[in-house]
Amino acid sequence: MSQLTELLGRVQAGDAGARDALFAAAYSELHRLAHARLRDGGRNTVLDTTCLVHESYLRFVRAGELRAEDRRAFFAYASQVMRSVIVNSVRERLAHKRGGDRTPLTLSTGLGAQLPDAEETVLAVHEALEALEQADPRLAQVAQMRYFGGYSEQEIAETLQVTERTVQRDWEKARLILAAALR
Amino acid sequence: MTLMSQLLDEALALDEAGRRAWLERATLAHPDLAAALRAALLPGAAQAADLKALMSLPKLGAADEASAPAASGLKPGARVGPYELIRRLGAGGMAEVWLARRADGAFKREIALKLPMLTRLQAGLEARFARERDILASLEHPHIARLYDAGVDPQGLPYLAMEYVQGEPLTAWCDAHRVGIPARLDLFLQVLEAVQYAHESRPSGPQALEHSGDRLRAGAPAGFWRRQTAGG
Repeated sequence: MSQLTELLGRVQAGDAGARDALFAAAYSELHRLAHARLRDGGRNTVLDTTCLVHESYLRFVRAGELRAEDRRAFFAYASQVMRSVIVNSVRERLAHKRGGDRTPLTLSTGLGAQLPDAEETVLAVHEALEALEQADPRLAQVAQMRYFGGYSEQEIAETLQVTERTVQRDWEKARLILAAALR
Repeated sequence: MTLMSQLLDEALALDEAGRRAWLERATLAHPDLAAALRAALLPGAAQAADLKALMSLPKLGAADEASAPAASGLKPGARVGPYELIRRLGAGGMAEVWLARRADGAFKREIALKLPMLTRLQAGLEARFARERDILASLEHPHIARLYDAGVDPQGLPYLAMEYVQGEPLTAWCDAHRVGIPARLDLFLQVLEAVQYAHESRPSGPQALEHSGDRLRAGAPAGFWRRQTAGG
């Protein structure tokens, strides 16, 4: 806790390295959160996810003590971590199902029985998002936060400092492009 | 995708009649994108369903491997030789790895127990397993999980008892901790050291490497299996 307090002081002083360290401290909680999202899917979990992301960071730190830009950066970071954990887990599930020598055996957890379509879809969305990142980074960011992070449109608007209407338009357009890429 | 994005910016602002007219022109100008643009601008039931499906992450069922049936048919609490299975840690095409402990309590230490998949028993498997055991037994390196014990239980199931390395895939760890290029290279050098040490083996990819605390360990050395099954 004292280490976190010290980190926080440095974050408030604008130390970007300290901010990364503070984010890393929340990593294991984000990891758990990503697995919870995998288990429950995206339905009816938007509010829960947002709450949990808040908790994972702000548990350490009273909200008022953080600069707004640090909070925003954390939300962006959290959706990136969740995407990475979710995609890794989905790859493992697929590898496990396919079997064969292409699959490196690891000690990682996160395997289970599940519907094949859902995994292929998540992986396809992830790959299409990589292409979208090149074409239109903001659309990709909105899509990542919405799809993998489970944030509300309002949350994304605050994080990216655009209007909620812009997020809605971006998300609709992103889905049109992703759907085209997935067809 | 950039062009698609630009074209959608033009057309999404239009009403349906405008979109139809716009599509006629766009079809001539961009014939390869015509179908995708039509699906996006004048969605039918199927396209609408696609968009709805993309609204949120699909439910993937239990991510908790303990609730999933093991391909081997083994369950937590089962005995394999002198070991009692605690929970399944993972599985590959050829084997499962379980967290296990000595059933007789002789050692408190938890270990990773690697078991070949019963459903995939093949001729020569036992010999291959014995070879893997011999290779592993000869390896002693800070970056390679140690082999503690190996044998065949009374039911004929071969097992390898190895050091249990808690961690996560190295690449995921690096991304999550925003590890810079110099530090990644340093980790890579450590990987190379271990690979060089086990010079007979084939590296099994970064997914098989785990970062645990400040140390790097190869999780389960799948490379030994792969080397043999690949005939190399």
